[in-house]
Amino acid sequence: MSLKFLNPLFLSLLSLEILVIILYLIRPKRLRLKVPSLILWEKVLKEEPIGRWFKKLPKNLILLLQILTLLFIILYLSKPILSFEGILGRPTIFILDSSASMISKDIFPSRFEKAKTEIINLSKNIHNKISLIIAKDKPYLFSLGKSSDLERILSSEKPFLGEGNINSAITYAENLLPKESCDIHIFTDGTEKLDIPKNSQNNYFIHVIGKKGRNLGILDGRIFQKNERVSQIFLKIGNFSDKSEEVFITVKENGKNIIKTKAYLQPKEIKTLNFEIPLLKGKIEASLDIKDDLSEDNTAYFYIPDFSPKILMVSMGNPFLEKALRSISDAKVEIRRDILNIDFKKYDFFIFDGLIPYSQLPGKFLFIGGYPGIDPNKIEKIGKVKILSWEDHPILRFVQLYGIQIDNAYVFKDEKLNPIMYSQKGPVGYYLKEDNMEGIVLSFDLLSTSWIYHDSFPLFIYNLLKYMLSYDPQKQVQEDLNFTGFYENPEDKKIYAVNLFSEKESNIEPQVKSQEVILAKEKPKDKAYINFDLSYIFLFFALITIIFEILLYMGGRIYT
Amino acid sequence: MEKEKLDLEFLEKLERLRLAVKRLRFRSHLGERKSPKMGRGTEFSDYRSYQVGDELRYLDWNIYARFEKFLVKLFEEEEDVEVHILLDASSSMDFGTPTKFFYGKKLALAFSYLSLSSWEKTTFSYFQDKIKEILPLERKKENIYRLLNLLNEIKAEGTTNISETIKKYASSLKRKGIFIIISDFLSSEFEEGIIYARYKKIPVYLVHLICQEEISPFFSGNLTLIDSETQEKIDILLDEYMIKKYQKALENFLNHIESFTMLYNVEYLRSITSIPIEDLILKYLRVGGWVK
Repeated sequence: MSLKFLNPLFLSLLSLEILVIILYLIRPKRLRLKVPSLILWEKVLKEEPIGRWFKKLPKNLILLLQILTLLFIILYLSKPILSFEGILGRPTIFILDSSASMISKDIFPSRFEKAKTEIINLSKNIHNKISLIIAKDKPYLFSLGKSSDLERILSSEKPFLGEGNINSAITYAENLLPKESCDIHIFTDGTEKLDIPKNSQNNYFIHVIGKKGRNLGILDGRIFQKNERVSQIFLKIGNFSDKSEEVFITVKENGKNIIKTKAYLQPKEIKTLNFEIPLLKGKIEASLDIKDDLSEDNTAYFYIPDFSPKILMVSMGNPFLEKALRSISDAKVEIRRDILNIDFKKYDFFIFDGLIPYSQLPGKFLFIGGYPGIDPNKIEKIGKVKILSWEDHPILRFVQLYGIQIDNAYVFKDEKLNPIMYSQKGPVGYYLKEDNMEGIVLSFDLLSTSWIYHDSFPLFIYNLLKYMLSYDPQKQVQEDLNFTGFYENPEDKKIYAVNLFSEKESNIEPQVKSQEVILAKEKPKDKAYINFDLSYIFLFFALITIIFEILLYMGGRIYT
Repeated sequence: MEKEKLDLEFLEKLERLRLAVKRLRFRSHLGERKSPKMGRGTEFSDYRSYQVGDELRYLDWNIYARFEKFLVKLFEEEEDVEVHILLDASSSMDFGTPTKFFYGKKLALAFSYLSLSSWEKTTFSYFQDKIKEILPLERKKENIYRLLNLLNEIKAEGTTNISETIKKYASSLKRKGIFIIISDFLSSEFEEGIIYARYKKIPVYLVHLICQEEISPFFSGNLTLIDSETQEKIDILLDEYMIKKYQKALENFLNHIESFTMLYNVEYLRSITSIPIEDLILKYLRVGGWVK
C-alpha cells in the first residue's frame, strides 16, 4: 500500500500550521474577573446541557480543530491517492439499450432511467477499465476513466426514439478489447433477442429492465390519393397487451378533427384500418386515444405537400411544350422570350428551350439544345437519328421513346453528363447534377422531332416536374431526427413527418430474461494496483471540523 | 477600601431607637405551666382567675374586697435577652460600592448600639469558615468603642461556611439568645446551621446583603470568572442570554431564601448596599418592626 500526491506542491502549505500555533499563542487572553462567588454561575451553567458537555472538552480544542481543518484542506488540495494491491477484476463494458421501447413507463420513472441508475450503482464497485456503449440504431462508445465520468455521461443521455440495434452493440463490444477477457453487462428491456457469441472470451451479464407493460401502438401508416377528391388512410395498429382493448382513433387535418372512430383489438392482434375521406393536404395526425406505457407510438404523423410548381419557360416559341406544361394542374407557367433580368428565387423549375444561359445557375432545369458552360469542342453533330433505348429512370417511367425520329441531333461528350436516352449514333438525353444545379439536357431541338406528337412527351414533362419538385415527406426516426412529429428542414424549408413506426419497439414485452452467460475460461484473477482518491474524504473531514468549530463558537458558550 | 472607615457619627441618629427583639420573641420560659404570662416583671399586664397553686401574693385583694372574686395579677415578664450579632467576614463580602463588608460592619455597629441602648447583653462575633473572634459587649454602652476598633481592624478574607459556624456557635451557648446574622449567604447549604439554631429555639434574624454588581453584572464577553473565596475559575461567554439566565438564577436564589425563612419562622431582611444605612435603619427596619 502506498500513498502518493498528485499535487505535492500544496504540501508545502503545511508550514502554515506553525502560523496557526503562533497566532493561538499570541491571541488576546480572556479577561479574568473576580466575582464574590461562583455558586449562581454554576447553577446557570448546569442548566445549559451543551455547556456542560463542552466543559468536559480539552481547553485547547479550538487550536486542535484549526490545525486539523488546515491539515485536511491542504491534504484535499494535494490530491492524495492511496494505492494498494488488490484484485483488479476484469475490464467492464456496459451496453445500454437506448431503443424507443426503453422509454416505457411500466417501471418508474422509465426503463431507461432505471437502467442508468443500475449501471451507476454497479460501476461503483468496479476498479478496472469501464467502457460504455449506447446501443441506438448503431453503437456509440464512451471510454471512461472513472465512475464519475460514467455518471456525467449517463445523466445527459436521452433514449433514442427509433429502432435500436443491440446486437450490433454486442458485436462492437466483442471487438472492443480483443486481447482481454471482459465482463459485459447488457442493460436492456429484453424486447430484442440477443445474439451472444458462443465462442466469446467474455462473460455476459444480462440485466432485463422491464415487465409486461400495456401498449397499443401505430405500427405503420400511409395516405394515398385515390382520385382527385378522395384520400385513403391506411393505419396498421397493434395491441401488445394481454387483454383485449377498445380504442378511439382520432384523425386531425391541420389541427382539426376530421375522423373519430373506434377499433377493437384482441390481445396481441395487429389490424390494418382503412378510411376514405375527402382529399387531405398539410399536416395530418392519426392518434390512439389511450394512456399506455409507451406513448410515443400512439400518434402517426403524415404530411401531404401541396404540388403547385412555379415554372419559367424561356423559349422563342414552342406550343407543344407550352401545352404540356399547362396541362399539369396547379402548375403556374410563365413564358419569357429572353434570359435577361430573371429573378431565379421566384421559380421552382426552369426550362431553357434553345436559349441557354452562359453561366451556371442554382435550381432545377430542363435544357434543350445545350447547357451552361458547354464546351464547343465536346459537341459532335450526329444528324438524323432514331431513339433506340433509354435508362430505367423515374423520369422516363411509362415513357415510350423507341423509334422517335430526330432530324438534327448532337452528342455532348462531357463527363459530367450522364446519358439517359440513346440513339443509334450516341446519347441524345442526359442527366446533369452539378453543385446545386440539377436537370435534364436534351441535345436536339424538340420541334425537329416527332416526339412532340406522341403521348409520351407530356408524360415525360409531368414525370420530370414530379421527380424534380416533389419529395417524400415521410421519415423514420434517425439519430439526427430523434423525435416524432413534424419537422421543417432549415435547408430546403420542406416539412417532414417523423414517425416511430416499429413493431419491434411497440412490442414492449420482454422476450429474454435476466441471466449470466459465463463463457470466459477460468483464469487466475489479475492482481493490480487499485487507486483510491482520498481527497474527498479529507474534504469531508475538513467540513466536519469546521462545523464542529462553529458549534464550539456558537453553541458552546463556554469555550470560545 | 481605605476610605471605608467606620465612625460613630451616625449612631447619634439612632439614639432614640430601641431594638424590638423582645416583642418578637416571646413567650415566657420562666412562667409556670398554669400561668405562662405571669412574669417577674413589674409592669402590670392583665388579670386572670385564681387557680389552685397560684401564689397568694399575686391575688388582688382590692378586687376581692369589691367583687368577692379571686383574681390574680399578671405582669409582663422582662426577660434578660442576649443578642448575638454575627458578621460574615469572608472574601465574597468584599464586593460592591460600598462593599457589602463595610455595609455589614456598619450595620453590626448599629445593631450593637441599639442592643446596648436597649440594655441587652450583646455579643459581637465575626466569622469566615469558623468564628474568628468573639467580642462580649455585655451591657456597657462604652464597649461600642471596642467594637468600633475591632471592626476597623478586620478584613474580609477567606472562605465562608455559615452552616458549620452557626451550628458550633449555637451549641456553645449556655444561655439562649437571639442571632442577628449579617451575610451575603453565598455559601452552600447555609440553611442547615439556621435550621439547627431554630431547633435550639433560638430566634434568628437574617440580614442579607447584596450589591448592585450581583443583581446586574456589568461585564460581558469572553471572561474567566474567579471565585473570590475558593479561587475556582470558569470560562464563560457572557452575553445577554447568559446574563438573563444569571438573573433568573439569582431570582430563584432570593426566592428560595425568602421561602426558607418563612418556613422556619426566621426574620429576614434583604438590603442592597446602595441604600444608605441610615435609611435602612430609620425607615425599613422601623417599618419592619425590628426597631421601635
